[in-house]
Amino acid sequence: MKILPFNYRIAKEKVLQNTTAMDLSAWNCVGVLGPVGSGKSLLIKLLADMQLRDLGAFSEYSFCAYLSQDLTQLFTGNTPQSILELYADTRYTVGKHFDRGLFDRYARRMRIEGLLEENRRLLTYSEGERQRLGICLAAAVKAKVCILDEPTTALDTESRMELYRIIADIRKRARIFMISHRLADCLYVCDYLILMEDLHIRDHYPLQEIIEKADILSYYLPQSEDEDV
Amino acid sequence: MIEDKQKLQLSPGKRILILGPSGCGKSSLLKHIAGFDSGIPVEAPQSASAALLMQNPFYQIIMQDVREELSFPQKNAAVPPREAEANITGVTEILGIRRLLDREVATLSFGEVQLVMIAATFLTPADAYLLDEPSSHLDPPLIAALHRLAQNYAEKGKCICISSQIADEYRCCDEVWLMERGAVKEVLSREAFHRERLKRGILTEGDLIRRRLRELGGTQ
Repeated sequence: MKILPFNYRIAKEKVLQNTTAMDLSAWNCVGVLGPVGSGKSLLIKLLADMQLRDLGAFSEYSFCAYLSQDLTQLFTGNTPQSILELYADTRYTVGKHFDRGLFDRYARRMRIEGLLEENRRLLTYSEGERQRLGICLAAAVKAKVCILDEPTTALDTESRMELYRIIADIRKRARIFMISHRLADCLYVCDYLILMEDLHIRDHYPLQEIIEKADILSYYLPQSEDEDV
Repeated sequence: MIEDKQKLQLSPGKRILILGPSGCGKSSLLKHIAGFDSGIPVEAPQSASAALLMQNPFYQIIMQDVREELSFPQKNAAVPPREAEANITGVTEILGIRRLLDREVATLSFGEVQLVMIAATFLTPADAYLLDEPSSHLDPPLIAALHRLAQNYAEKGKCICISSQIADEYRCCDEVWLMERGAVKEVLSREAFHRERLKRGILTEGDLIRRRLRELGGTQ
């Protein structure tokens, strides 16, 4: 698992680039952290795209579990049950890796059984409910790589903590790439961090080192905190 | 379903934060206030108008370019062009998105779309601004910018209503509405919420980060 130097032209004056090669094989859960619009999702999508094998990273794996940033963009008008049927269909690659028993266990832990029973169209659920469904789907796909794009948006603290525990489960069987703009997510689940800035990889290091990076801590800690205990 | 015993009041210059677990009806309440459904006991002047930003910013995009997207709500309300241009400058400067003005909306990232749609909402002439989880894809400096913008509008006498999962945001609001299972259970002032927060174990993003840093052996 390596990321090689690359230049990838997205639009006229927009180039996503990496200048140094990095070897990620020793790390199990890699977090991608960066400000809004710094190219986090794009980097992971590029690395997961099988047409771009030259970039290195995921080329040894042919299939990834993926949680997209917005589930409804993938499944407009579907109901949870129809999505589950799709995931369980062994004619598709995803069906060969999807574990329904595992999904049901995660669904209980994320408290979405009610949502599965009601089986309304996806658009009628709240953002948080959709997000939890997406997490269970991605977590129940047994692939060697699992990509989670902003898994904690729209989640309350309780669901977030449960998600951290689920991610710890996935880590035992798969490599995880998690994209987030929240430092807390990276601190809780990752062991390696890639920092993005302005469409390039600014830095990368093991999680422990972040404690000494005062600039990053001050950027990602919510402001006006001094009044607290 | 939303039902309410509490008297909820939207008044000029007030900033309200709606907090509650996922699926408790925050979005529904905001849509009710915006007038999508009648029969909700929220008190507001009869003639008041509201601008609503829905949770998924992609649903509300109507133009191709960012600049057009930001001009549209003002053209629609017949704001004079020179004034409209000044408004766009003001709002985009506070949010730090001037560099996005000439981009096509389709090339923006999720967080950038959210910023653009926040700007578009605030550029809609209205009495109340209702934003449904506007900070879900923003990092802390951008959330701070959003709050500066909200304060700016509150000072002009507008009412701002923000829903969120992140309790940190209470610091920038005058009142916190705590929701549970489809109803507003409590209305707390900022000071009261600040006192109650630790007692009830409501964690903020800052709490989470500091707690974890301590576990990892950091000094902060």
